[in-house]
Amino acid sequence: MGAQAMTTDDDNRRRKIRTNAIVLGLVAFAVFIGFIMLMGLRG
Amino acid sequence: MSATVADMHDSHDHHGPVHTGIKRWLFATNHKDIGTLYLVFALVMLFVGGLMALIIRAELFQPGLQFVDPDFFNQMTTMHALIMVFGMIMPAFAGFANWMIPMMIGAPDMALPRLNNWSFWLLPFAATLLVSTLFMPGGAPASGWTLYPPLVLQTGDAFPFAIFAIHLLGISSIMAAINIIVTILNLRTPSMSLLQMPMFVWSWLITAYLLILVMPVLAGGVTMLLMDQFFGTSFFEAAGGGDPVLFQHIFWFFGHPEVYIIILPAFGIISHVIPAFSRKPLFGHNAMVYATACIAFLSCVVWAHHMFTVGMPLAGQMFFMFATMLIAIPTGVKIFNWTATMWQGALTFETPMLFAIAFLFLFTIGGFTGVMMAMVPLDFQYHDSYFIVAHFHYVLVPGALFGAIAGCYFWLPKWTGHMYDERLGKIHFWLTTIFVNLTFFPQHFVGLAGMPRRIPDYAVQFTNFNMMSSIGAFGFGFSQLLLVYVIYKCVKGGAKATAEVWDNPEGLEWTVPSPAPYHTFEVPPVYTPRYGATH
Ligand code: HEM
Ligand SMILES: [Cu+2]
Repeated sequence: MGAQAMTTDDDNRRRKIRTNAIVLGLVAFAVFIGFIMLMGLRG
Repeated sequence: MSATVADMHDSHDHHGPVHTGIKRWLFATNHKDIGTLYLVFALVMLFVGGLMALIIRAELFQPGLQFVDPDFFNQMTTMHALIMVFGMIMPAFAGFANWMIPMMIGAPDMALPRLNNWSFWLLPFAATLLVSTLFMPGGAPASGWTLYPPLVLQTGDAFPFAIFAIHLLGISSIMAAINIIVTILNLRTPSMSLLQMPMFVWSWLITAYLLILVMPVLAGGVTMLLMDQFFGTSFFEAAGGGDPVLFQHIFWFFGHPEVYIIILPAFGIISHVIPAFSRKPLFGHNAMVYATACIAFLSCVVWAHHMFTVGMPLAGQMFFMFATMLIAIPTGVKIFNWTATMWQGALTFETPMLFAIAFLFLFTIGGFTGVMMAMVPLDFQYHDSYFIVAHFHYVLVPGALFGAIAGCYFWLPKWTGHMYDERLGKIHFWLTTIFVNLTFFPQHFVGLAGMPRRIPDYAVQFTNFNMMSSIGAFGFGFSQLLLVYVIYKCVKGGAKATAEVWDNPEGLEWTVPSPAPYHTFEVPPVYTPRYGATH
């Protein structure tokens, strides 16, 4: 596991990893919910 | 939120696993351990799904009903496909991704190691749940893996359990996809540009985006089935103003990209094996990247080629026909580039290369039958016949599965530190290749002559070809025991593998010792492209 020394670089990387992962997760969730709603709306 | 790889400092002074015994696997966060778990799980599922296939082939050995009743037969076709797709081939490639992507891009691990643990551990539970539906009142779903309503709504008590299993499998895939994207984009060694990434990494990056796009749609589709069944909606029920054909659109909007989710990682592996044994760089690396992206894009706009016979406006038929045929272009680019990589190379034919070459020929057969079926008037004859079964087995077995097997032989020495038994590997190759053709080639003929798929009985004139097919299937199944033995033997011992294993192959994974140490690249390595900066 990432035993690299802690630097501000690592802080940044960790923030980026989390942001990206959350964004991708939200996209997946939005596709899921959005999709069902769209299909429901078509009457 | 979740832990990232940068948080995992507890292992500073360890060179091996933090836990031992069963805990090492249950609490695994190391990408190599999780990769191993995925690969072993996939191998087990190969035999579970394979057993179901053999039940199908036993029944089809002769016309008439011999062993199973028709409803159970259809449960077998459904479960065989679901297990093979979600339980075997996708986990196998996730295993390769876990093992190889961090090593190929010079990362210390996957970016989200705990999420990774969860992605894996959902699988055994989901697969057990899915298989357990066979023992519920009314049996497992018998609708085929396509789960079309209204048929699938006739499933007994098992219905919600099967849907839940599919949800779990989908969640696992989505989490794995997120992890892979984030790892590639955020943990790549700074000296490696995006275009310099190895093809396996590229194909998984693109595959992971496809997964995030389509798995939620499948989840949405099956959730709507669930709501129709239990909550009084009528998405797919004509009596309530819904439309069962809507489900087919939803399913195939997922389903067609799914087949590329299965094949792209195999393309990636082949793109490593062929250059290594041709002793040449991959021909047209950038073109391969663009072709892969192009295939992924097109795969999202061709879904209704599975529905030509359902009835659709002429404009729809034309669009889906031409869009589908367009995929043959980037696919052709890839086949051409692999061939050009071998051209004038110093070829040797170790087992991984044999599987890669067989892949080239046999996948192409499946690609050609695909183009045949993409033509609307022709598809009216082929649809729902054994010709379809022949097509997709050619792309899935000597396509995707051969890709996985080639990768397995290629990297086994890196994983275990030992060379596998080359003689047994070659025997495994020849048995597998002969039997796979014996199984699936005759299915083209019976399909063209009108034998329908998913029916346990058939007209007597199809008997000979079906007998060949069944013999081939049993031969294929038993030959895979040899694969298990070769892997087992290689794990246990064998000639020591060098760091490079093969003849100076390209890639960061060959710069670390074999077996790869538990922790690799704790400091990002400097990546220098071997063949100039052109790719
Ligand atoms: C040149 C590439 C390809 C073309 C043009 C193509 C075309 C088609 C068409 C038109 C069908 C529907 C036939 C029918 O039901 O009447 C089909 C079915 C299928 N294809 Fe392909 N295909 C291609 C590649 C692939 C690949 C790479 C895979 C998987 C690795 C794949 C897996 C499948 C499967 C699983 C089915 C059957 C689905 C089902 O009904 O259960 N195909 N293909
Ligand atoms: Cu398709």
